[in-house]
Formats: sequence, structure tokens, C-alpha cells
Amino acid sequence: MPVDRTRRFSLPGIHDLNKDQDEALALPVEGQHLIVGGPGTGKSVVALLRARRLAQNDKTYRTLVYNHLLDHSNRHLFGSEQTFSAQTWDSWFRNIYRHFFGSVPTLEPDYPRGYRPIDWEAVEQQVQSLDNIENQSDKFLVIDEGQDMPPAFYKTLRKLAFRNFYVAADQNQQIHPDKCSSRQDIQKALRIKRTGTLELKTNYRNTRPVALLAQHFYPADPASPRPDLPSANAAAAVPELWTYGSANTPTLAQMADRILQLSDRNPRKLIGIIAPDNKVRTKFNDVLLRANPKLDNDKPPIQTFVSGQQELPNFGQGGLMIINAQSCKGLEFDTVILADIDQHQPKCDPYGLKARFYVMVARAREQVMLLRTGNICPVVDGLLPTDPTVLVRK
Amino acid sequence: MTTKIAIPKKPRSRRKPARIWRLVTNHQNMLYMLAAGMVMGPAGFRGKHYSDPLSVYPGWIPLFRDKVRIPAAALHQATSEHKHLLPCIASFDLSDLSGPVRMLSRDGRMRDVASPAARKRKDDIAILVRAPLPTTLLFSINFRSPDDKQSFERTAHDVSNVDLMSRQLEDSGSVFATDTDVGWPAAQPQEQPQEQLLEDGGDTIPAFGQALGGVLVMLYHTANRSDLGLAAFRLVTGAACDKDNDLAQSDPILAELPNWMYGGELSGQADTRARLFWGVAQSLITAQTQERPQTPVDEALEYLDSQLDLMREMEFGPRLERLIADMRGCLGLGGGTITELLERHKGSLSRPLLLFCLRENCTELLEFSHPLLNDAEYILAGILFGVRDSWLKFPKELRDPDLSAYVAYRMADAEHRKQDDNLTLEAPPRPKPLRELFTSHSGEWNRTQKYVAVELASSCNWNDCIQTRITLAEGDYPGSFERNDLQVVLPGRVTTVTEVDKAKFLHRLGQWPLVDPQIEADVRKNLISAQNVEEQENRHS
Repeated sequence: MPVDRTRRFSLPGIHDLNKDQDEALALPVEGQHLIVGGPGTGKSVVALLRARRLAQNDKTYRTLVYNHLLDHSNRHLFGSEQTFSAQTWDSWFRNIYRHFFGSVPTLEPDYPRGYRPIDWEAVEQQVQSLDNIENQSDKFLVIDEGQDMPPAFYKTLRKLAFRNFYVAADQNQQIHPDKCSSRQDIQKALRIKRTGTLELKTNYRNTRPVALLAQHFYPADPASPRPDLPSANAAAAVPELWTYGSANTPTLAQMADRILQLSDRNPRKLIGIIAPDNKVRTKFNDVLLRANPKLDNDKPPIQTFVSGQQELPNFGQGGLMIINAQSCKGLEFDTVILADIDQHQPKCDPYGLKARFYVMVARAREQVMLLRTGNICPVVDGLLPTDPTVLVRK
Repeated sequence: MTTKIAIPKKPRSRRKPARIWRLVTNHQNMLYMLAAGMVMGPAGFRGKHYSDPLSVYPGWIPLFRDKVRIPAAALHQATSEHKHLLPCIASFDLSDLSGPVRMLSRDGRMRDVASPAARKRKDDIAILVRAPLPTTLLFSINFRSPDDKQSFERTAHDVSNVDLMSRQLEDSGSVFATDTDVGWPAAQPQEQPQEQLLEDGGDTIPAFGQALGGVLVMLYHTANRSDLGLAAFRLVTGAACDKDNDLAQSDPILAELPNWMYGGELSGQADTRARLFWGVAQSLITAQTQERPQTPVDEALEYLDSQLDLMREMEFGPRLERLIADMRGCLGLGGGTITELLERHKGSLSRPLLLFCLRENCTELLEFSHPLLNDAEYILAGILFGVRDSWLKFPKELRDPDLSAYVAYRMADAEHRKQDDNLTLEAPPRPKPLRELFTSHSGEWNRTQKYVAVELASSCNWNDCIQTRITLAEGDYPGSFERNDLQVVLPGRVTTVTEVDKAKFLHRLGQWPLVDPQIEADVRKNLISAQNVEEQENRHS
């Protein structure tokens, strides 16, 4: 009989939620609320619980996220007990805007038949001219990764008479800093008082060793507080740094065998392999598909995803998921393997690289492994912690 | 208005008059205590206690008199830490509790009394009971308004480990009537300093009680998997027969279970494996009492490392060293397959410890099975997982109501024994695992058991264990039948009985997922009422 790989969403225990999270969950149903916190502080958990509660109370609500992958991942976490009303912010906004104005003003695409970005300047002008706006105070918006939406998005919704917002955001995780909203932008647009913003400070998702490694890469923007480390000390599952493909190190094929055996030992766990680019993503996909080590169960499913791909990966089952670094933000895996860390670009921007490593490492709930080829890159190596209690060299 | 009343009650004639005392707290603390199965001091909340009257005399539970206005300051204290906190008043029936408590008067004086039933003086406002108290004594939880009650229910619905099914929730504003003349905390008279009065108090984390609760739950669930599992559960719940004792003695580590449970030393016969196993269990509990504990896996590894240093020269040393290396390896990109690991490490010390690193929590262990694991290894893994998760972390699905009541009692009882404070609680009935309901002294099932087994197998779609027995009338039958059609024509009358294959059925009973709670409740009802009838018949005959 094939092994059951179903991943289950489980609600947190009362002991898992800290006092900050209790407060975030107790915020009134109506009104504008901003929850700020670093990766792993449980922003998405409180946003999902908020959506769950709105669904239970039969409120008209919508959860908005940045991209389809996050939407898909959230659907798995939400569970199947209630219908999850969720969408990407861009498609939801276009629909709602069309309802008011008939069409959405857009800019020219970057390439023929490409994506047409929303023309926010034109949107703002049109919205100013609107009178008799229908009341939207019976609608509730839960926005995850709210820093990724532009300030004009929030301003427009406010003008369109939306009044109930629950926004979870982290300024340290902006996808495109020039197009994203800062904490102040969101507060200003939604008229949230500074005291009305809640900060989640404690790392909720990661084990202490993972959090320690993530903290090493913390980019230090004070707008989102640096998450406090989880309380439990830990040493056993210290993040590992493996070198392969050079003398006296395992080959890539041997690494693939080890990765498959790791998955085989716990078939319900989802292992995210985060690659610096498509080339590395394809390389790992190919070698894992070819590998055939001794396993107790069937070979784990190997999924890959690249931005723009129609078919979305399945977050509901354990196995391996190979994605690019650009797609990983907001996602959560049981284990994360950072493939070929020496291949990350641009090498001339160590601050940017550090921020990327911060986001990638914080995706892991339990364990992180870093893989590098024998071509050691001094820039990337210079970013790695030397303390063996934070990153152990294998 | 009252929502749910499903508390198992004793027959009216046997019920003692209720002795209601009231705890003033907030909804978050209340939820935590319901999850923990005990009312406890702030230390038990591990950093998540919101200031309330429990903070005043740490380690002692202040319970206010029933039908007397509560001090306004106590109610204020319960919600003072955060504006989102909702006040709630939990009513406890202490008629099943006996032993010394302290009576607190409105001028702050305290006096020792023999029991909560002691005669109260006019100015007595509360009693102080040594923590913890089991939530089985909880009679009702009162809220100031229907909105507050609803918020409480919603918050409980957001978490995995609070079950309100058997709780009586009420909204009655009158309970919240306060007295502003009574100070809270009550002023301490100079001649009676609090330190002196509470010198034998002290607020501690009920780590052993919680671990014991976790172990009891795991033994309850693993009891369905094997006769050895059932024997181990009966052993720790005081219902073991000679056969159970003999079975448990068959494994040197399992044989020490009763010694560990009652907090004593291991027996003189305990071998190195038993000492290492129970040493790990004890180190996990000790870690829970520390402010910043290590993760349980780290704690286990650190303990084993320390023992390795002591036995490096012994025969067992190299084996232990290899085990520690593989425990560490399987957390990362080393290790191999589970089969390879289990083949490399045999025995009831090594395999439970490997599983401890391979699976994260009790639910994951209960789902797991492997042909190389024997019953003792699985049960011992369950014990380690129970200690690790402790009762607090168990999800609702694993908290059967009767089991919860029994566990709450055992946890509080264990903590009071440890404190040696002479508080005694009346034990609720011992829960019986399903497998136990399908046993009998003779080894044969009675008619009800046979019938219920078929019903259960059908309800759960365990088709592989259902079979139909056809008994033919006497006569000459051919040795084989030719199947030409869908009919088999037999001479004479036949009787057909649908039954279960006992071995397959018992195997199914212990497998994951658990039997649906409603189906299980029906099965229990049928079997227990039949058992009662049988017992009555036996008494009369």
C-alpha cells in the first residue's frame, strides 16, 4: 500500500500562542489593524485564524496575498473545515475596480503581450472623481504579506469605502522595495494610529537553531522588529553546510540519495529545495528524478515550480518541492535545503544577498541544510557564520 | 444562560452535597488551565500567565466563597494586564477534596483548617488550596455576558487542545457582583507575615504531573495495539492481574514502569538499558522545570552523552556511541532509511530512542508502524513521547472525556503526593481502552461482544476482518462446488452468522486513525451495559 503523505494543518495549542499573538487575535472584528513582525513570528498564522473566524461568523471576507503560490500554500494551511475565500491581491483589485469603473487603467507591458501593471497614478485620479461610493463596511479584508502591495492600493481601497482591514506585514521581506509599502505607508493610508499597530516579536515557526541562523542574516530594518529567538535551546538539529562535487566530498548523485532518504524517513514532511536560479533548479530536479536509492516507501513526489507556471504545486502532501529563491517568500517548509549557495547573484551586493538568505532560511520550520559546490565563492562564504553551534560544516 | 451540560454525574443518591468555591480569573488563563487539565500557579503557565488572583499567593489557589460578593479588586486584577482579557469566574465543587487548606478572612488573616468543609466564620472570604487542582472539580465557568461567553468559545475554537464539550458555560451577571470594601490582596497582618504562612508553598511547574498525564494517554492508546499494551495500561491504573504483571515483566525496561510512575527509585534488578531509558525520561521532565529548557531531543542526547562518558570502557559503550551518532544523523542528511536504522539498533532501549528523533509528536507516533518494531519497543516509545508532549500538548482528538477526567485526577494526585501535602481527591472511574472491553476471563467473547465487534467493524469499514460463517444441515455434501452461477444451492437448512476474525479485528482496533468518537461512544454504551447486566447476573447466581 502506498504510504500516506498527506500533510495536515493543525491548529496551534493554547501554549503555542504567545501574549502578542493572543492580542492580535483578540482585535475587534471591525476596524483597521496592522500586525508587524519578522519571518516566523506567526503573522500568517494570526491572519489565517482571523480569516477562519470571519468564515465561521459568516462575514463577507477575502484574504489577499501577493502571488498564486502563496495563495495556494495558504489554502492548504487553512484546512478544509470551511471555505477559504482568498485571492491574489492583483486579480481581486482589478475585479473590484472594474465593478466601480468598468476598466482598470494599466501601463504598457515590459514585453509584447506581457503583464500590464496597474497604472496607479491614473487609478488615484479616477478615484478622486468618484461620488456616492457604496458602503463597503460589511466587507472584511485580511491581507498577508501586506508590505508587498503598493501604497496606492491601500489609499484606493480606503477611498472606495473599505473600512475593515487586518494587515500582516514585514518591511524586511519586501519583494520589490521600490513598489512596496512601508509600515508608515500602510498606517497612513489606512489611518492606523502608531499605537494601533501590533508587533509580533517572538519567533514562532522556526526551531531555535534555524532562528539563530536566520538571525545571522538579519538585514536590520528597524521598521520590523528583529524576532526574539524561540525559548528552547537546541543543538541537535543545527543547520548543516555540505560541500559536494569536489575531492573527498559526496557527489551530487550521493547528495540526491541523501535528500530522498531524508524525505523517505518522514513521508508527510515537505522539503523545500530553494535554488538561486533556474539552472540550479533544473539541475536538482533532474538529479533527484534520476536518483534511485534504497528507500522504505515509494519514491517521494518531486515537484518543481517556476514563476508563471500554470500548474501550481501541491502543498498538501509531503515530498520534495524545488523552487527558485524569488518564489520562496511567505512559504513554509518543514525542512529547507538551500541548493548551490555559491551561485547566488549579485555578488556585488552583499546586503541584498544577506537579506535573501534571511528570507530563505526563515522558510524552514525544523531544519536547514546549505549545499555548496566545490567552487567556493568567497563573497557568499564571507556571509556564513563561522560558529559551529550556528552552522555545522559536514 | 447555560450552553452544554455533559458532565458525567454520579447517581443522585451517592452524590455528596456540592461545596462550591469560586476562582476569579480571565478567559486566557482559563483556557490554558483547561488545556493543562489543572488549576495551577503562574509557574505552570510557562510564561503565559496573565496576572490574576493566582499571582497573589503563588502555589496556592485562592477560591472565594460562593454566594458572597467577590472583592472588586480581585476581579480587576484578573483583567488588568491586557484590555482584551475577559473576566470569568470558575465554580469548583470541592466535595470530593479532603485535606488541609487555609481559610482567608477579609482582614487578611489566615488559619489552617482541616478541610474545605470546615466551618466558615462570618468574615472568611476565601480558602487557599495548595495547587494544583484537577479540572474535574470544575463545576461551571461563568461569564459576565453572552458576548463574553461567545468570545471564550471562539477563542477555544482557535486552538487544538481545549475541548469545551463537557464544560458547563454560563453567563450570569449576578455572579460578578463585587464588594468594594474588601481589599485584595487582603492586607497581611503584621503578626502573620505571608512568608511564614506560605512557607511550605512555593510555585512549581507541575512537570512530573504533566508528563505522567502524557504517558497515561499514550498507554491508553497503545493498549489497543497488543495484550502487552493493555497489560501496561492496567498496570499503571491499578487494575493489573497476575497475567498482566507477568507480561510487563517480560521486558526489563517496561518492568520498571510502576517504579518510575510512583516517583521511586528503579529496582535493584534494573539493568543498564532500564537505567538509561528512565534516565532519559527523567532528564526530559527535569528540563521542563528549567527557565529555558533545551529541546527534548537535545536533552535526551545530552543525557546519553553524559552516560557514555561513564561507560565508554564497558561492553555497552560502543553500542551507545553508535546509537547517539545515528540519533544525530537522522536529524540531518545522514542516517539512511528507517529500516536500516532499526536493523542497526535492536532492542527496547535503542529503537524507542531512534523513534524519538524520527517522529515529532504523539500523533505522529500513533500513526507510525514498522514490521521490525515489537510491542514493547512501541509501548516504550509511546512513554517517551508522552513525557515529551506532556498532557498539555495533546490535541482534542486524543482526549477522550473519561480519559481526560482520569488523567486530570492522576496528574493532580501525583503533584500532591510529591508535595506531601495530604490533600486527597476522590478518583474518577478508570477508563477502559476498547481492547479491554473485548476481553474476558475465559478468552471467549460473549454474545454482546461478538455482536458489537461486527457493528464496529462495519461502521469503520474494516471489511477485511468481517466474515460470514455458514453452518450446513447434516448431510452428504460434495467436497467442492462448481461455480456456474451466482447461487450455491445446498440441501437442508443453513444458518449464517456474520462475525469478525478476532485477530484481524484486534489488530485493526490498535491501528490509526482512531475510531470515530461517536461510534466509540455507542460501542462503549453497548458493551458496558451488557457487562453490568452480566455482573448483576453473576451476583444473583
